[in-house]
Amino acid sequence: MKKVCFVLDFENFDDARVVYNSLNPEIKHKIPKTKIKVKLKETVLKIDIEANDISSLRAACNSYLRWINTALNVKKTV
Amino acid sequence: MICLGIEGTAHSICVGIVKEKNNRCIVLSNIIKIYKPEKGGIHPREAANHHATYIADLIKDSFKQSGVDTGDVDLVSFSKGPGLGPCLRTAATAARALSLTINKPILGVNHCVAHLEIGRGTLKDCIDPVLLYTSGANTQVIAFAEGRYRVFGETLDVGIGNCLDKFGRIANLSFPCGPKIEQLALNAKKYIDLPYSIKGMDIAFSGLLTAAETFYKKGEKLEDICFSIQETAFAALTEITERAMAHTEKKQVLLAGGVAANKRLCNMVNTMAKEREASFFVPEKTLCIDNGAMIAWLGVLMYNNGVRMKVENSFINQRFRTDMVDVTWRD
Repeated sequence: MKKVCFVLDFENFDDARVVYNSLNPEIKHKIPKTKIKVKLKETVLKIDIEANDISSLRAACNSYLRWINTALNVKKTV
Repeated sequence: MICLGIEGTAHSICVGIVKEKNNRCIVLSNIIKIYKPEKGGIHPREAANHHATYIADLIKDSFKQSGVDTGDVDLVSFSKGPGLGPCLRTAATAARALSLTINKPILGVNHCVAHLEIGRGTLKDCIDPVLLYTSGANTQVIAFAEGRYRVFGETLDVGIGNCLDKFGRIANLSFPCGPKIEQLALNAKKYIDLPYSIKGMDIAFSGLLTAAETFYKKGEKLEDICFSIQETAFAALTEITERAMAHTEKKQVLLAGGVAANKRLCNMVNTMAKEREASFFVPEKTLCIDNGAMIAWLGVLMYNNGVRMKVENSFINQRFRTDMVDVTWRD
């Protein structure tokens, strides 16, 4: 099993909250061959991703990082 | 009521803002950004990256163009499906972020139903049409019956837009190939017999595509093949649309989807409608292709009729069928 952990410390709790809640339905709606755990504690978002192989891990990492970036960009725009 | 809609089912990422007034749709802004691959077809991951890159700026531009303030928006809607998973999930994530930031409700809507409703919402006298929906991935004949939009006929293999694009790639035409095929067809000299596949109320294009490729490789003139593809495929689409109109006894036909921009298809369907003494409708091009205004408008209709969704349940559905939607806003 391949594993990766991202720890993201946001500028404020509201940014972290919006990103976490925007991402949440995608976490419930699983990506094939991967397991994911996301925890929010104050301004820190911790994401643990496990996958059967390195290709699946890379794909999952790219997807979740893309969505985090999308949510944060949208929040900052408005 | 003002709604901002985000569309992201396939190669386009779009943001539209609409206002509801006297049950009619007023489009305040409708910005469309299309992903064009350097070569080949749409790569879902690359398309999703494209959407992620542009969505925040599109939202900003949409507010600016419409003159609407973020506080004036009553609802955020997004394309729940059907479509490409990575693209849908990116658009949905953006919609959730917007909804949570401006603290307004969110609603996921069906992309195919949105194509039909934007026609009904913006075109005067378009009340109860049969929809011929012709895009890249989707080719369906849809009509309202007993509380739902029913699919009376659809493609059994590729959508008509994908069929045109696949042939275009074989003939080294650049994406999107439909407009180029339409131009080439104008200079044709003869019709080449191609497979005409209607199975019940459904339709198939793969045989036509294979035959067209064979003729191209044998050295037939590209103009003649393009003309023959259009005549054969569009005649079949018109036939199943007419059958649905006869079956449902409806006297209106609406054309939507990217291929609705093709003048030859419009002419054929219009001729059929005239012969049946029916009305023919086609929205302006920016409301025909994938767009955010249609997603926003369907959001308004659903929300005003009591449909609600929580952010935590705002899932996408890649296989969200047209007839899965409970159409509570129509009698």
